[in-house]
Amino acid sequence: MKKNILMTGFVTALFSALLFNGCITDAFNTLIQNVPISSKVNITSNQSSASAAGTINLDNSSIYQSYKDKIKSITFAAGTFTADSVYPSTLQGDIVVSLSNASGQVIFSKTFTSVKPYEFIGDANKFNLQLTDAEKAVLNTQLNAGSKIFTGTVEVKNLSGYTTSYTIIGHYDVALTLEVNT
Amino acid sequence: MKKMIPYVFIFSFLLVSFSSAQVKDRFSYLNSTEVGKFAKPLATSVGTALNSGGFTTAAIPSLFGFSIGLRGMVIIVPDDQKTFTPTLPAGYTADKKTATIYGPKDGGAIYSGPNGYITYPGGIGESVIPMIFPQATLSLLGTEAMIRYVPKINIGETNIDFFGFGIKHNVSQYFILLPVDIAVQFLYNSLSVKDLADIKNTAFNVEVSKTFGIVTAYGGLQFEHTKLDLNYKIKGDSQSGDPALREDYNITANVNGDNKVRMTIGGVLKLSFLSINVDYSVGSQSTLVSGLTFGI
Repeated sequence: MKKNILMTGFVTALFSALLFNGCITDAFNTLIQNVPISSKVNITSNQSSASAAGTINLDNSSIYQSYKDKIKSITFAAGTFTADSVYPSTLQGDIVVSLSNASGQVIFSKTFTSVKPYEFIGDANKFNLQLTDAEKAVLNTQLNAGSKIFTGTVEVKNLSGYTTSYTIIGHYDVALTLEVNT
Repeated sequence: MKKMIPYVFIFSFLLVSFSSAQVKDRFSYLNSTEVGKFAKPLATSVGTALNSGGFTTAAIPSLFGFSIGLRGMVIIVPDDQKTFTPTLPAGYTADKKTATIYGPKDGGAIYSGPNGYITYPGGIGESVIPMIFPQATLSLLGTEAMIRYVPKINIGETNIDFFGFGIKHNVSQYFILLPVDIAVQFLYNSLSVKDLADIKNTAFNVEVSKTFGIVTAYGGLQFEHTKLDLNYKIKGDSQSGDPALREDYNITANVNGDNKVRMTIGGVLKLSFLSINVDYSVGSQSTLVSGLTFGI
């Protein structure tokens, strides 16, 4: 009787441990990995209005490439626009920062009126792409539908403060969150 | 029962081996400094497990004895071992913590800086880690040798080696009037997963026990050390904000577990040749151990 109790207790503990082991294995079956992607933008013009676009392509990410056949979900996590160089520094006007899908549909747009692009130079002055919940929903829906290419556009309007031409070089940084099966 | 033991052990290691590639996935985007912080709780829990279950009594047969048994355990990971503060390149600020291997699945942090985003993986979101393994002892004249061994198991692309031994000596036998049994023990355990990890553990303890009929109460103070050697390949990502993570290269990282000292208290119920024990250890990660032993 006592030996039966011992065996019952042990078998219960053993199977509990094995069940736990199963739960641990399940925990390793999914991974949430964050994916950084960057895209450069370069405007060189002598006109008071101009624009340039940079392509944000998931296929440029080796992390995305590693997991693209195992993706459960992709969501937008964060995004910034940073100016790397502006010439001349006296440049002033309106700046429109926007994010569009491959079809040209604008997902996000922000207008800065009468600013100096020079003030966006550097990591400390970067502009955070603060998408609303609705904008995130649109972007996430397109990501999960298989859209891999997006366009980050910088448009300048009503520029002054230059004589012959000007140059604005910047880049978009985007972070996406992948949930993948491993 | 004896026929069941190898199958139980193989099954347990099967479950572990399915996870080795999945563990590599988490390491592949971390440099050697960061993987040390990310994996330290893993080193601690594996070391804690392998350094557990080494004794259930300080008494050793004065002539001859042997035993064979299984030790099952659960290791409890505290909240402060589920996140860490990363070391980031110049220009980046670690303004928030990121997940260790046991941290939240969505706990991988994103850091913005001059070279773009630096991203970290999430954890597995687990707080309780189980493990089980067999062991056998042989004692002679107040000294006991313990063996833990599983022949190399080849599973897919992985193979697993496990070996451990311990040597224990009863010191209370030299003090006739002592009301308790006291022993000292040294333990060594080694676990190797091919192309991923080598874990080596050493421990030294002082044990005390007192028998009351069929029940023995025991306790001990143990000092231990765990070293985890990781071998993996960084999957270079040209988009990473960390220049050190933009190219593929092989990494060897050495991680010491936080398991340095523990106190154990437990009890064993002994009926003829069978005994079942339960004990609890307080350390860097607390551990609940249960075992079934056959022997004299």
